[in-house]
Amino acid sequence: MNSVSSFRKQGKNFFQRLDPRVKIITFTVFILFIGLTPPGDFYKFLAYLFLLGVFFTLSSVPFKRWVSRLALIFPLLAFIGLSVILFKQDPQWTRGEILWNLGVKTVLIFMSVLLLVLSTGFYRLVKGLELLKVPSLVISVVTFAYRYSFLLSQEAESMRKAKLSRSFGRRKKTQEVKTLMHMVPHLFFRTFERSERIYAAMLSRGFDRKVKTLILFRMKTEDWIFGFLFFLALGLIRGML
Amino acid sequence: MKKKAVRIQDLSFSYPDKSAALDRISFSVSSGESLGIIGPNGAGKSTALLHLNGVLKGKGEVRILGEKVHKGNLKWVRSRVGIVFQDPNDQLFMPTVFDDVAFGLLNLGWEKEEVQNRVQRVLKNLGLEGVQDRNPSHLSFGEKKKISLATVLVLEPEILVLDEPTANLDPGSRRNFLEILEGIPKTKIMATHDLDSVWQLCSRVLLMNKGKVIAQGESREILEDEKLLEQNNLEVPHRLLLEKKE
Repeated sequence: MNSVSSFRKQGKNFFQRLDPRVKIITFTVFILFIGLTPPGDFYKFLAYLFLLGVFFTLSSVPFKRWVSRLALIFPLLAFIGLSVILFKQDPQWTRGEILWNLGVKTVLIFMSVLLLVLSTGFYRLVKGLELLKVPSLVISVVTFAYRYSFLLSQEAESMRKAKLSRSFGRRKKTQEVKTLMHMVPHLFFRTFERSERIYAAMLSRGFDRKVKTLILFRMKTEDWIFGFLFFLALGLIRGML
Repeated sequence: MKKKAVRIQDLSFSYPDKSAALDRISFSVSSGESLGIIGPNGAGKSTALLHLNGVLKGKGEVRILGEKVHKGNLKWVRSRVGIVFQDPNDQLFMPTVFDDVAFGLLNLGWEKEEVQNRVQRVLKNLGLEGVQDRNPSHLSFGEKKKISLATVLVLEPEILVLDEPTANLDPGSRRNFLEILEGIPKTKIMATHDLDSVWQLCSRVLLMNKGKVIAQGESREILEDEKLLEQNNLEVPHRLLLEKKE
């Protein structure tokens, strides 16, 4: 898990230390801008990419780390591409135009979300959402999904090792698929049971679904300056390009 | 007469699949006493423990320090009853050791300085000073077990509840862990198969099987009863056997 997520760590530099509320609001607006930009405005997309590049540099997130996370988007892009190729019906747009529109926006939005999460830390982000009065049910769902994803990968690794220990050489693809189909529901069941035990442990230590940290979130001058400059940059991109 | 720290009266509990886990069990624990709850797998030991802090709610009465456990006082109950779970991987779920140990204090609303002081103090007392910024999943099982204990001790509960405290520990870590527990002057309730540890730490024993209380009494009385233990898939602890031979 991200060490920036710690209850007390403020972050290594000014970008990481920005108030999570400022980052959530600015990035949400940024994502809306990306989504609403007409597909033909190529230079705007380039400007958004440049802005993201600047923020990635300021964030000091290791390059290797965000590239490895970025690779997660390829299955999604493949799915989008396949859907467009197979099911495109709108006569107003060509397949190429739709693919470009969806593809570039998906990549930019994904990069924005990635930057937000990697440079803020999960618990600071969730605390920011709580301070912005996002409903507690939404926050609970987000935090539990986050914890569940780690449990799922741990249990999957454990099952993978157990399977390998009883596998001898290559098997037929059909056999592998059949085994996998049996393992997947079992994986979810095991993860669910473990998540129940962890939840019991959390309740036993007074957990009441609220996010508690040692950091006091107060808007500082640098937060206001960042917000102002960010919206100025967006305004310039929109106005000039 | 000593005040009762824990009192359970006619407690029954069934899981959603209707399997009966507890069948009208009753027992009490005096303040400062150490009770060992023993029994075979599936006896209902862990299920009984989870009723002590209201995580599970069955039919019957559970009283902690004289107060009946109900929905309205769960926060208070959970600050007074600290449960150390069997698998430390279920208890440690934060990015760093510091965060895990601080988790309960933050939920109770303690101030930043007090949280930091208490966390550092408890880690020092358990010989874990150097690990507070480390990811718990990267530590050895024995260290994780001690940190699990730390996450509960930091809350300074009056009643310490332990589910299989020595499970999967190597002999050295087990010895060390039991020494730590022996040095904690609190009311202790320990559910375990490790009857040697019960013999070492507990003055009274409760034997459970199939959700029922089979027997309860002084440790020697229950743990020397070879026939009773064998009928319930247990055996006389080795330390007691050695004592008898001497």
